[in-house]
Amino acid sequence: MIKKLLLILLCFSLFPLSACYDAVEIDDLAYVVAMGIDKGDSKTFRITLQYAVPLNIASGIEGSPGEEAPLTSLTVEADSLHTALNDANGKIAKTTALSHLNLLLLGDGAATQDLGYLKDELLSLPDLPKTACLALCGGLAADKLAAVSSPLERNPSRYYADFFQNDVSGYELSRTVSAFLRPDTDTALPYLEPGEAFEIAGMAILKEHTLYKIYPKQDILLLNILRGNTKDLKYETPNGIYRIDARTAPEISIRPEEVPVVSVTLDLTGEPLSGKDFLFQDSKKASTELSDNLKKDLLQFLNKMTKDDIDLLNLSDRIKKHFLTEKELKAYAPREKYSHSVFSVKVHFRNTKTD
Amino acid sequence: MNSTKNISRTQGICLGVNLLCNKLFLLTPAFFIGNAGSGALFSVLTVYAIAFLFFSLFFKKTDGDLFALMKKMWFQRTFHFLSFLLTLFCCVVNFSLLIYFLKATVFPKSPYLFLALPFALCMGVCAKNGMKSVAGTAGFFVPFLFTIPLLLLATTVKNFDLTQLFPLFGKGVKAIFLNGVFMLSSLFEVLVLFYLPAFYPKQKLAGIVRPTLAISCLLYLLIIGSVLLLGNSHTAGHAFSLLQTGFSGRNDGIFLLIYTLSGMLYLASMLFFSAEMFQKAFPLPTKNVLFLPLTLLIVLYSEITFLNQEGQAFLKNAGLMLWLMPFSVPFLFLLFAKNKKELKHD
Repeated sequence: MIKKLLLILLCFSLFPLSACYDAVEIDDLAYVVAMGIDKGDSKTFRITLQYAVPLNIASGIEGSPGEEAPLTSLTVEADSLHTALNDANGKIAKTTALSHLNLLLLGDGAATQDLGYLKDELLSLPDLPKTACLALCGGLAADKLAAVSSPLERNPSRYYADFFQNDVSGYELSRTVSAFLRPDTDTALPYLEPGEAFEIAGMAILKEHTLYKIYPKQDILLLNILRGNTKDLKYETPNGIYRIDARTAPEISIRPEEVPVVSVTLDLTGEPLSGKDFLFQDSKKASTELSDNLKKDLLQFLNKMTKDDIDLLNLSDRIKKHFLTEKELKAYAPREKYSHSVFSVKVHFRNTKTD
Repeated sequence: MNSTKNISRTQGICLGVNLLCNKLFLLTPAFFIGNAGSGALFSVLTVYAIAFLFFSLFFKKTDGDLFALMKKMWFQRTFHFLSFLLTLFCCVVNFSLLIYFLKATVFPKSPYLFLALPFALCMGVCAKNGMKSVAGTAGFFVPFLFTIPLLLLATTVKNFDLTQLFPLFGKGVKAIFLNGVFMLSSLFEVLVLFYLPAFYPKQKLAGIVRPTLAISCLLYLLIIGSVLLLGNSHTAGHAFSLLQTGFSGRNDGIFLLIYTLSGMLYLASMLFFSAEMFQKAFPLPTKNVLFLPLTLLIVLYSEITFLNQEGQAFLKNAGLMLWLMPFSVPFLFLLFAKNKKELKHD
């Protein structure tokens, strides 16, 4: 019994013996809130690390340190993210920590190369939160991050999270690192225009981890409607502006015929907010006006995607249920037939003002 | 038989479930999904159907005591020795995996031995305390294993992509049903259950094996199903690290705790049984002296395989043949047993 007790005590004594081995004090860490990735001049990457300055975030009294910039940036060139972080650690007096990273911004120069390598690099960084937002900007990511002023928010980390994930404009296109890690799907990222303005100007489409097309801002709205992210959206027709909500999730079905036949049914509710008088006087006319315009826009958007061979609705995944084995699916070659797809869109709109 | 050595039925089931399901938290989902694609769930069902069929046949012919079948000492000793080698091999692989996982996720800068030694010590002490201690710990801990699939389901259900289940038969019927035989290696630890009658003498082994298979089948379906439906991850641990939930933040910590405890329990049980097998292969009066050298062997050999990529590849390929021991060898004994009427004691 005494022997067993001694053995157990010996076991537990190992834990305090480790003392402060591997201990990391919070004061020794520098927290990165945003990371910009550009194409390097002499090396593969030009990485900009935007650090939070906690002292300047904490206080907001005039004349106090809180009036100083809450962010500071450091740019390094390296062949891998690991080397970049190592180089950055050599330039600052603290250890770089990625655990609070909220934004990963890709410059369009970096994104025109195959970003598959970046995926592997991201996976190998254990403390990088896979829930960080991913966006793409025109020009250099370093310049864009340097121009961020985070209006109405001293905490830049919260600013990025709110900007990309809690957007209320209807142009939200929340893409996280984990979505980017998913193989074989086309990815749409929020696109920020070159220049100092920090606002979403459209969506950048990555195909096989390479920047392929940039679509205008209006298309984000249509994509959100098709994906069922329709909550309090403002939709504009030639005669007025409507508020629309989804009553049920969109029904998207695809039939594997000679060419794929895709039917989309939307069940929406809402009301006209402003515009011509007839929208408020004749509810049926207002509903028809919205349904016709939305149908036209959606068809145009869907045809544009197929023409560009972009599959943001995962139609090539949806078709899989019609096949029993991967061999049969491969024989049908849905991806090759996708560009000839035929679409039909039905929009049911219930006007809450008068119906 | 000393009654203090006996274990209860629940403890036996918990021990079996932990042995079968420990690997499930790391590599097994990738193994099944890689083999059958979107038909991985059918593959799991096939593997379990074969296992159930085998045991139904086995329990029909015997009362579960495999060693009563092996009348000749030569067969029995060879079987014990081969079982010992394979169990030790499983210990080495799982020990390496556990330490590698800890090193890759939470302690990247810690040296291998620093991580390995506390685990080795706990494993050795737990195994040396005997079957009662190992099974008691299993009886207490194993219900917590369900936290992982339940938490995974609760936090990931909104990210599930049902299209990942199609095409229904994935890489084809052959990949699911014929390769299912090789996939039986994931249930290799069933072998250990043949050694349980020594600690569970009064009741039939079927009372442990059938619930063990049913519960572990449920865990396999839940975890492999979740990983498959998420589409962008290969292991339960990876799935946890990709998600952020509103009510509890990231759940990696819970996963890490449960996986580590389950791994410890697995290693302690396997170490205990490998000592038991060694004792039976070379009839020894006691197995207590074996724990220290076996623990050291596991630590040192796993460090070698840990550092050696070729060693890891060898272990991975050799693993495919593991099903031969628990499934085909007892089956052959059943088939060629001379006096089949003598197989049942009662």
